[in-house]
Amino acid sequence: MKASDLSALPCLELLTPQMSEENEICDIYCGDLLSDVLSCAKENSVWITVQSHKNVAAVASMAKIACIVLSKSAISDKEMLNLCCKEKIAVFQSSKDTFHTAVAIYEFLK
Amino acid sequence: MKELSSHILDLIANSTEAGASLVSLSIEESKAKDLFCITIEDNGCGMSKEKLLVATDCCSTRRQERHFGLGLALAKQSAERCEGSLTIESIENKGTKVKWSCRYSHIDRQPLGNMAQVVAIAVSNPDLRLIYRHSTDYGSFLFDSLEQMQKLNLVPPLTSRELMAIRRETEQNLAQIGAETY
Repeated sequence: MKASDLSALPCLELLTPQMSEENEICDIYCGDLLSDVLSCAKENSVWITVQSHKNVAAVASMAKIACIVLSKSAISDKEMLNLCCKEKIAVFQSSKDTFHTAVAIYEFLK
Repeated sequence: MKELSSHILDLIANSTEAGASLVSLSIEESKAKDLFCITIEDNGCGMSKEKLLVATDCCSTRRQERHFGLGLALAKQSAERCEGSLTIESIENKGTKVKWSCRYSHIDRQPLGNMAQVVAIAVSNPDLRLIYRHSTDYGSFLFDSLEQMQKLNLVPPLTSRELMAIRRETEQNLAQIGAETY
């Protein structure tokens, strides 16, 4: 499954345009500490976080994240979205909290 | 970062990469003033006005091999998350001063972490002199790596045994002033 397939989930809303190049999603990572995500998240993971700072986009790019999901309807920062578009990383917003978002995506990917 | 000491190590690394031979590190922690303040000043190559304007932007980096620089960006974010601030003063060919501060009691403030380890790591660099001042509501402690090495007749590069001794002494001194460290 690719990041764009996640648009089928009712709790998720795509905040960025559809990306032309997409890799297969291989894992889900929940984390709000950027240094932790940088060292522990696997490549091509879905990263679920409440953080919407521009640094999130930089970390996602460096960690080769498949896409970002902002949980608890976290409001996206414009600078963050612009940098994600530039780095070709899709950003979704979820109406659920981090745990329930992860469960929903996990069930969908099974 | 999980601890402020990780940010401090990162900023000291910035100083050495900028060619600094002297780093002055000052930590002021005061419950009475509700203040936690970290200042790192170096005699490195400094930054131009243009570079200073974008220094805390994650898209700005001195390095060629990657296009993001997270050290100052994450340090600034961690301060602002605690209703604090990070300010930078810099003069080309003279040096840079970074000041991180926030409320001591802020619930989201990271713990300081292991400062004795930070000292040992900094002192293991034979080209760097570290002057470290740490003050709390109970007292203050000054460490000057050059003076310490002269006093103990040590010659860089230090052995791991010598670094361990410096680390232990720093731990004891910090414990005496009730510093938030371990």
